[in-house]
Amino acid sequence: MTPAEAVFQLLIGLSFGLLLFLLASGFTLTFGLARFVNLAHGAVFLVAAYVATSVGGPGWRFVLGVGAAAATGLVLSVVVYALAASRWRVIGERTLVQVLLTFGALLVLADYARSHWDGLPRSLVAPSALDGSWAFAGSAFPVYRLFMMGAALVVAALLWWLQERTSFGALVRAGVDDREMLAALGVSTRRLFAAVFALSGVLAGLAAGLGAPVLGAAMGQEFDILVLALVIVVLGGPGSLAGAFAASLAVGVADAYGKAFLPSFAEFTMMGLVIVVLAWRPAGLFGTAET
Amino acid sequence: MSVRRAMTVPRVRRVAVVLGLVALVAVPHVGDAFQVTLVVRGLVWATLAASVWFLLRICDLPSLGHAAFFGIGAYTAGLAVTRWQVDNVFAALGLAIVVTAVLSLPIAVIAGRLRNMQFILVTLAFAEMTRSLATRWAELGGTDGLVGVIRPGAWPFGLDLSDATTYYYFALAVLLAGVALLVVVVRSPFGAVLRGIRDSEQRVAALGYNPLVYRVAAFVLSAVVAGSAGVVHTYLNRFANPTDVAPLVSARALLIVVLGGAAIAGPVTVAILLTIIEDALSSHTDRWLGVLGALYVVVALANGAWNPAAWRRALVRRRGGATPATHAADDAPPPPARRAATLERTT
Amino acid sequence: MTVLALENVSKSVGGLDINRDVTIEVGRGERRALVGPNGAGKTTLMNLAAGLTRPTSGRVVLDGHDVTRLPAHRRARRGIARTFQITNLLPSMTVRENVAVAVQAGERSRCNPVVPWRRLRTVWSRVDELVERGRLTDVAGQPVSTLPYGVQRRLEIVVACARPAKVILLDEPGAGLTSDETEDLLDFVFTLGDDVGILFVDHDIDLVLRAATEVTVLHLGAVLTSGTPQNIATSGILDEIYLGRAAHA
Repeated sequence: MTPAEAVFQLLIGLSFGLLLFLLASGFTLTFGLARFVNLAHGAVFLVAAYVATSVGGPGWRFVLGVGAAAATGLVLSVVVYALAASRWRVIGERTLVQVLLTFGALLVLADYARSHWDGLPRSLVAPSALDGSWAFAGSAFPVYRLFMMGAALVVAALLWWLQERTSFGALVRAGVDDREMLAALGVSTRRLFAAVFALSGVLAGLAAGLGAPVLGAAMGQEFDILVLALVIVVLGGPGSLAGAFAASLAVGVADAYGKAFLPSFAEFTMMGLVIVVLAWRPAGLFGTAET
Repeated sequence: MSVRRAMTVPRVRRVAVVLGLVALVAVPHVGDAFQVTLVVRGLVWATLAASVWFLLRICDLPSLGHAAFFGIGAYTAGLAVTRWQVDNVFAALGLAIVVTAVLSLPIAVIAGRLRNMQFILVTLAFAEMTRSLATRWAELGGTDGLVGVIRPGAWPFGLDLSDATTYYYFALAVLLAGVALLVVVVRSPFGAVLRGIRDSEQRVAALGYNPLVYRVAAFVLSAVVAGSAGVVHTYLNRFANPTDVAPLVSARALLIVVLGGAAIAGPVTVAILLTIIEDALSSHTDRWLGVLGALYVVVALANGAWNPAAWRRALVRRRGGATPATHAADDAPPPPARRAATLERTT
Repeated sequence: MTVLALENVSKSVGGLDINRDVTIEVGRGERRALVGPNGAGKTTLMNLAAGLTRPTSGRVVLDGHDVTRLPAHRRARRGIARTFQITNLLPSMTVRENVAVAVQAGERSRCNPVVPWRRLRTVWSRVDELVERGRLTDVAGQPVSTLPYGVQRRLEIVVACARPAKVILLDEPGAGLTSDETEDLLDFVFTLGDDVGILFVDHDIDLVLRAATEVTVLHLGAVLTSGTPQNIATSGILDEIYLGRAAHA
């Protein structure tokens, strides 16, 4: 492995990691705030990705595709929330019932995707302006990935601004810290949760749309993405955007290096690393000692 | 008064269990070979579900990685016949138990310190690691897995396991042995400590018990039962492959326990029924997974109403008595969310 | 003869000093009360003594042995028993079963995974003894979650003291109880043995002054003073720290 190759893979990893952040940030917010384990999140990504490949197309249609994906994510996430909210008194506190509900939703969504798109993988062509590659370190780094990184960073920055500089964000942060107190102060937690779910859906959709030229849409993503999101949320600490950001980058880079330099044992190494991290720091890399 | 007495909860439960056992024993006499094989698949899932039940309901540890131990048992059984010239199913079972116990120990120690989401993640990560190994390691057959696994002999019982009915009773025996073992443990002093740790780790530690040691032991026991299920699975299908170690396997086992409720008979029953239902569904429609998902959603939403333990308590309260205490409380009430002291006063 | 000593113990969490250089000694047969307004760091000291948390600096010494590095369960085996401020029992089990778990902690059979629990004769006969002494016979077969608060508190003490201990830590044993009920509880504890050291926290000052043989006063994380109940009562220091005014002559 030459230093140039190492840097190349680093950029690949970072670009994937930033995409993962968009996905994981929604997951960590719903989990940190509403204590809700949303296993359907990966399936929302899947359907949004398929929508992006269907609606999207060459040129300006690409934007349409991303938009449609974001909208799909929004709608699906809100539907999942609505289902849970209808029985929140029972579901709200019980992780296992949430698992049952959202896993069922995952199966329904995945089944829909499989039957609507025949279970075949699809891809989306990047707009020609972003096509091509950038000669870097003796290799060709796809320009689209640079765009993807940039776009993801912009969204991440907006998310950070939302969390740190708006009252909405303050409510979310307060809720993550102490949900009961928030309710006691008269804040409508239901509406806050709904908003956070909607936001997480939009983010997942954006990730799917922006990632479509690179990752495409394929059956199986509903699990693969979910596993990565879970890793990121637990390692980064539930409810922490900063933690999710750092963990996403770490996971992205680990994934890239693993696939490039240890292709047969990429997943093995990644999962092994997760176990090592949890053995060393049970609360996650950035989490507080949270039960 | 005497009729009511006769129909106490434990008695109804015992009758139900006996009826269930009778039904299970009768299956090969009423079904054809295909149906019998289907129910064997159900028995395999029931054994796996029992192992997950033990960790979840008795120890409050939700494992999303039991596919790993299922797979380790499955592959050991396959290797025993194809590579290691083991021609005895009991030897293969024993071997699988030992291998599973040894391999589960390190992860048990790591996971034993973790709770909730971290526990879920670490067990899932371990299962994914195992799956990666199963898929990539040429020695284990890669994505094709181990094929051509012949059912071994059953010395000292001169049984022919290639016969569907005989194999059915073997699978049933493994299930019953596993369940019996787990129930015995739950009702033992060791099991009492486990339940105590589930209720309040702090209190039990303050009495002098080391919670980690108990959790590790429980984890290994659970893994061993899961591994046994894997053995039956491999000899049933005559192959072992990486799909045996898929996250879907762990998830399904966990879901069955969630659906099945607090007592062990629940998940066992649900596992068998669900296997039959899934088979029926899949022969009617391609979209059976979607239908199943919708079913899970409906059950989850109805879950507020579905609470047999609460019904029982309400029924007993209306009769004006205290709930009879049972020593073997494998019927566990929902774990307390907070250690809230009840502020009732005696005046 | 000191049975438990917290030596120069300090505890800081996230920049906040909860306990500052606290030294407390409990002797055999002594009943030391720990008093002070809320926020004085009393529960934290209890947790430090019991091993639930580690001090930022200082030592915990039990019967001459340094146990600072030992976790809670190891200290429990060495002879520290405790009750919790918020009742900490095993809700899915009955009264007898709770006591049984406590009693069997000292038996080899506690790890036995095969014998039925109810067959441990030695354990259960001891359980019945304790249940009787704790006046819990009427409710012995009931699940703990159905018991009234006061009875739960009594059970908590019985469970904590089920096995012989060198030191008993009682964290607000009277929380939520009337003075009489608390006195009742304390009487039960005080009959447990002449060479047991007891460290207890309570807010009922009159009760404390009657029941204790020694008193340590905590304020803002540090030890203000300590002495006999009479001395403390007459010094007026309690008025000062609880009510913020000098005692009237």
